[in-house]
Amino acid sequence: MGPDTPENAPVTDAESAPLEKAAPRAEAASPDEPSGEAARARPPRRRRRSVVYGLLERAIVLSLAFGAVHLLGFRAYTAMLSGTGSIALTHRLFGAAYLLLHACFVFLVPTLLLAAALLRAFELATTRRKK
Amino acid sequence: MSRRSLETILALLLAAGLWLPCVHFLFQRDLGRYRSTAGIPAVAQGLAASHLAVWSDAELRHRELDRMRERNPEWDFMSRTFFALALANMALREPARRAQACEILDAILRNTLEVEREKGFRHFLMRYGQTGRWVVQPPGSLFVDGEIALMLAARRSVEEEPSYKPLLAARVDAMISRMRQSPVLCGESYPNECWLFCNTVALAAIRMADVLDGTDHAAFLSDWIETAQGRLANPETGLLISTCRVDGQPIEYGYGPEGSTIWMAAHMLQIVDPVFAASQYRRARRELARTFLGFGYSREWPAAAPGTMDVDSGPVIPGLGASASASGLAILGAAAFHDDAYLRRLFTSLELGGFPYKRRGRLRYMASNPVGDAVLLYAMTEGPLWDRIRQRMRP
Repeated sequence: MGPDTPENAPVTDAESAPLEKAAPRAEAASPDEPSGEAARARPPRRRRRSVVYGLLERAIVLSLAFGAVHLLGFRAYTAMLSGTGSIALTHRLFGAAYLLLHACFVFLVPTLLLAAALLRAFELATTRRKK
Repeated sequence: MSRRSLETILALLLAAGLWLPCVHFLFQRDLGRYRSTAGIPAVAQGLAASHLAVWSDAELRHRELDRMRERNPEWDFMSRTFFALALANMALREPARRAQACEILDAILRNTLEVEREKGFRHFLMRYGQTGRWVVQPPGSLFVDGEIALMLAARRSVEEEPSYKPLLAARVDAMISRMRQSPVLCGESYPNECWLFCNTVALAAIRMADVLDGTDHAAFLSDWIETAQGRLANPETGLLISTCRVDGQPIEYGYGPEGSTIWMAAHMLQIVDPVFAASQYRRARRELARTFLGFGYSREWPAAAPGTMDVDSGPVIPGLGASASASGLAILGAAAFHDDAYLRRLFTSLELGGFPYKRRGRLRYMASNPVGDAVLLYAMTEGPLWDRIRQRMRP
């Protein structure tokens, strides 16, 4: 990965749309920039990177959310599974939130991280082949 | 679909394919944490601390038992039985615990007998047990008698208590008398419902009484096994069915074998007829024990004899047929029959789906209830009590 020049900077899903809209303006502003077909050819690489960062972002957000509910002691509310816990709706919601985030943390987060690594490896391999 | 989306989906699928078969490693623990031939394993100590707290604090006990009774009166009763069995095993394994174990065992027995005397045996039954018509008169539940007899015998196996001797003898006589009135030698747990779970518990209690008091019901036990093999075994699997009428006719909701019955039945039969017990365990292992991505579980019903969900099975996961109660009792079965490979996978599932929660040295499995925790505690400590009975059994 190169230095954090505007071209190499990480692009997230949310940022990619404005960048694409801004492309014609950039083309107009600098005649040295690749025009037309070339400009349209570049976004996919950026978008792929944005996918990698998107996956990482989601993994981090889910991990933080799970860490938060765990530290807040929501695990105690999973007694709703056996029907022996508190019957208060908020407590059942806490338990349900914990179950969902626990499942995400155990099954989904590592999958997202692995997928991000695989996409990044694919991207690097493609770049090297092109070079 | 764009190329980018396709690449992302493929990467996610590949990642899931790589990760999911490895998840179980996160939850796999050393078997020694759960089962030990010397001393009380760490996890069992945590579970025992929770139960001891309940039985050492009257207010906490009322709260816990009342909460269980609200859900199911059987839970209140069964948690006593399994905890009593676990205590007996712990005391036999670590003699230093004997005095405390006997004290708690006495408290459990005193309270149970008092409740039965004041409110009747129906107090421990679900609502339909309080209104139905009992075929054998006078009415009595083998569920209640069998488990009380088992608790009395377990207590006496740890340390003789003369006042319990006539109580055990009376239960055994009453149970045998009622069981003999059925052509399949099965007593009613509920009105005109003879559950094999309860009947095998009663047989184990009878055997223990024989060992403790020198009585001899070997012929009755042998007749029961012979009758069961001929009339109470599912033809497709050879496993004992779950329930039948007093006349031996299978009941619609228990016509076949069930995981929530057979693992316990096989364990109880270990001191009645070890060969038959081992064959039931082997068959149950083949028909019900399954592993998915390294996680072990038990089906509630064999594929050849599907059943319907009830309060015993609990929710059954569609597709897998997995049941939490069958899987919990499978832990007991696997522990009793020293099936370490299956036991390890079951404990791995317990760590994932049981949500262990430890506080102030007390462990609870949040997805379980006090009966489930008591079953787990018993499974983790099981061994010395049955060994003692086997050593003293007549050849």
